[in-house]
Amino acid sequence: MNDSALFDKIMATLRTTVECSQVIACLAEFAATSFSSTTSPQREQIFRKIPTQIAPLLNDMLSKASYTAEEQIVVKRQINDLLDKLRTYKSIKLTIAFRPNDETIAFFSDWIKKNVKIDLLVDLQFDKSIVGGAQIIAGGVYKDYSVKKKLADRFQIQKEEILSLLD
Amino acid sequence: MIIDPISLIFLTIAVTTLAVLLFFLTRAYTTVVQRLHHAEKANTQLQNQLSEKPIKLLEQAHEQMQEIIDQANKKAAEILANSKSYEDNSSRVLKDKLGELEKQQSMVFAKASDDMKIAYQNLMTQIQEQDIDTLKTMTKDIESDVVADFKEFRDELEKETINSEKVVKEKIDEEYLTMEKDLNEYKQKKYQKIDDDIYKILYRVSEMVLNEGISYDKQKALVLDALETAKKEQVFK
Repeated sequence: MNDSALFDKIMATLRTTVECSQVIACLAEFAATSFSSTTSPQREQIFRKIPTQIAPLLNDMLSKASYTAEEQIVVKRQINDLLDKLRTYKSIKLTIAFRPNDETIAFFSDWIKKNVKIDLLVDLQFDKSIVGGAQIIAGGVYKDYSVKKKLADRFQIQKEEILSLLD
Repeated sequence: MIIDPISLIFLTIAVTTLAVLLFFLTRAYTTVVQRLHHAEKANTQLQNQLSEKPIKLLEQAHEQMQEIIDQANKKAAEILANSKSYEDNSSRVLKDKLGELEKQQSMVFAKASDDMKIAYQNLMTQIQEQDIDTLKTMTKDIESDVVADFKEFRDELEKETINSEKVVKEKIDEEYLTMEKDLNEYKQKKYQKIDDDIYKILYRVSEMVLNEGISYDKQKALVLDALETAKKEQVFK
């Protein structure tokens, strides 16, 4: 698999900015070892921190037990290229009122990748005060689709009726 | 030398005239000297006579003076005698006259006194009547003045009282309106605050109820709805 295909696959597999940060951290740590600790237990120790769906892809790239000097240079360059790509990836900030499980995160990420762009990450934030729905920031545009906003709008529109009910 | 005949004639006439004139002058002088001589004579005689006459004249004058003095004394004695009798008569007459005059004066005075008394009484009565009238008039005037002043004072007092009452009423009304306005504003603020508070409480309660009442699946569906809406609104472009 060439680098571009691998990178595309990794990016398509990554769902959230948290996962991206984990991958960046792992790759940076791995590169810092100067490939000296490429033993299986040590590598597993490093890659254990990354999301499970990413680990096999990185294992393919970094599975060799030992590297020659030329290979080290090539792998190093690959890692740096990947890090550069990961650091420049765009994301959509999604603030929601509940803590989603992996399945739900995958659901939202898939929806975004399918409906918006395949290499977009989801920056998930939790805020119970928004009651429900989501607040979205995409491309510098902020939109509030929360239940809190809808409730406030409804209260504002029907304020007189609500107050009249209180009398 | 030959003399003109006319001049000769004229000269002859002049000499003749002068000779005539000298003649008359001489004659007049002689006459005047004679008269002067006679006058001196008469003067001498007169002086002689005058030196003899004064003594006689003094004697005569003395005699005449004595006579005159005697006559004067006699006349004086007569006059004195006459004057004494006249004095007595005069005194008596005078007394009579004075008595009569006194009586007349007394009568006149009594009459005048009576007249004056009557006049004075009349005057007093008149003055008294006038005083009474004046007093009555003054009383009436004072009464009318006092009544007018009192009426004016009462009117002024009523006017001032009404004005004061009006001003106080206006002030009270104004204060009342201000207070009513402030009270209404205060009530409005309080009502607004109560409404807002109730509204906030209700809103907060609604939030809490919804927050607790929304299921996981519903939350997920709401997020999906949000994403769909954003997509429709082209937020992701």
